[in-house]
Amino acid sequence: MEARGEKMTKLGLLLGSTLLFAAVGCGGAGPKPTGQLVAAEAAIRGAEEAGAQDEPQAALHLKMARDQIAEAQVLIANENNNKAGDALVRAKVDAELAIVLTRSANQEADARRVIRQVEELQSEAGPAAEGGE
Amino acid sequence: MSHLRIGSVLAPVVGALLLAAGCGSSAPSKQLVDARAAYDRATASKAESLTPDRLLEAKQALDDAERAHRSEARSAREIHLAYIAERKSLAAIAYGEIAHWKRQKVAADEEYTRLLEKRRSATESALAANQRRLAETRAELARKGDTLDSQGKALKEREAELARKQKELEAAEKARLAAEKKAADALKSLEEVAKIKEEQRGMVITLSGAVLFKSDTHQLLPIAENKLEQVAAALVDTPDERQIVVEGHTDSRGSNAYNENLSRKRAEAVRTFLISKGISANRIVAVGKGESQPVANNRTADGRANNRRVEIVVAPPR
Repeated sequence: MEARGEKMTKLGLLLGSTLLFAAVGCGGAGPKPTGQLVAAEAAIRGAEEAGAQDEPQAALHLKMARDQIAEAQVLIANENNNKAGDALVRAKVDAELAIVLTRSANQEADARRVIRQVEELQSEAGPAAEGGE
Repeated sequence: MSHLRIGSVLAPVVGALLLAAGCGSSAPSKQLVDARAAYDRATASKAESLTPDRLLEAKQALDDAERAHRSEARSAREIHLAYIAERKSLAAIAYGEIAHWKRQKVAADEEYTRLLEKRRSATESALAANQRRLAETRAELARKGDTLDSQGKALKEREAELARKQKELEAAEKARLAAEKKAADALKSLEEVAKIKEEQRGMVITLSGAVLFKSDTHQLLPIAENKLEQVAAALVDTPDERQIVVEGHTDSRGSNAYNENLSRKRAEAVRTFLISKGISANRIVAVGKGESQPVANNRTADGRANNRRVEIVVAPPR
């Protein structure tokens, strides 16, 4: 009888620890992710300043970042801080990607502008002038 | 005791199975599939050679997601990390593009500078050539200008010379005309003392022989000298180029030879007198015509008187 009671206690402990582990794995109540929120918002501002809203691909990721901040704020309100922290990390990564995509588009436009100027100079000089030295 | 041991061993397995059943199957999440594809694209992109450090970051993010997948397929952790990994791969591709276009721009900038420099130097040499040509043209113009100036000066001098000569000619012509008029007037004035006649050979001044000479001599009478002085005064005014011929004429009495001799001597006497009054000897000749050119009938006394004469012929102006 005593052995059966001990067995039952151990089974209860096992079930309890399993449920707790599952709860922690799928999100839960940690500290408020203030740092991640600040970092994500800073990244979004950076993207806006870079002009991400004017580049289609960058604008798409900027929107994703904003959506995830909004989602994180709902989660924080529901005290689901762990999930909120992940959403903020994703928001930051999206905003940073928007910045890089914007820089890439700008860099390409810059280079193409100079290449066009070179081509204009070459066509002004004419093929004979270019090859005549 | 053995039941308990079995239970202790099975408990974590059951827990893990429960957890796996609660969060999904072993197939990768859509996010992991996307992350893998994005990483494949990144390895084939310019990032591979130009920004390998970014590609490594993407690889590490994908490894994290793969580990989460192996640990628990389709878990929130897998999905979260795969989401991040996909974006890291996209960022790596974009970093590669940035590096690529930076290089392109640097090359284009250099080419642009080179072309500008080339154009500038071409423009400078063209400008220098133009300036050289301009200077040559200016020098040529200056040379031509000098030539023109000297030619213009010579032309002006020639024109002035011509004008001067023209003026001189006009003055000479005027003087000549005036002299002619004066001479003509003077000769006209002789009409009181002699007969004046314009003929083709010139102006003929006829003086009667009876007035000039005693009969059969070539001695000038005193009265003849008065008349001849007036004639000389008129002839002095005539231009030098007008030759003067003094012709002696007789009537038909006596022999031809005698008459011719007499008429020549009389003409000589008149010529000598005229020379003594200032007529140039060069322009005056004396000719004896004898009785060969009568102007009237030798059978009458009047006629014979008219035939005895001296004609002074002044050649017409040239």
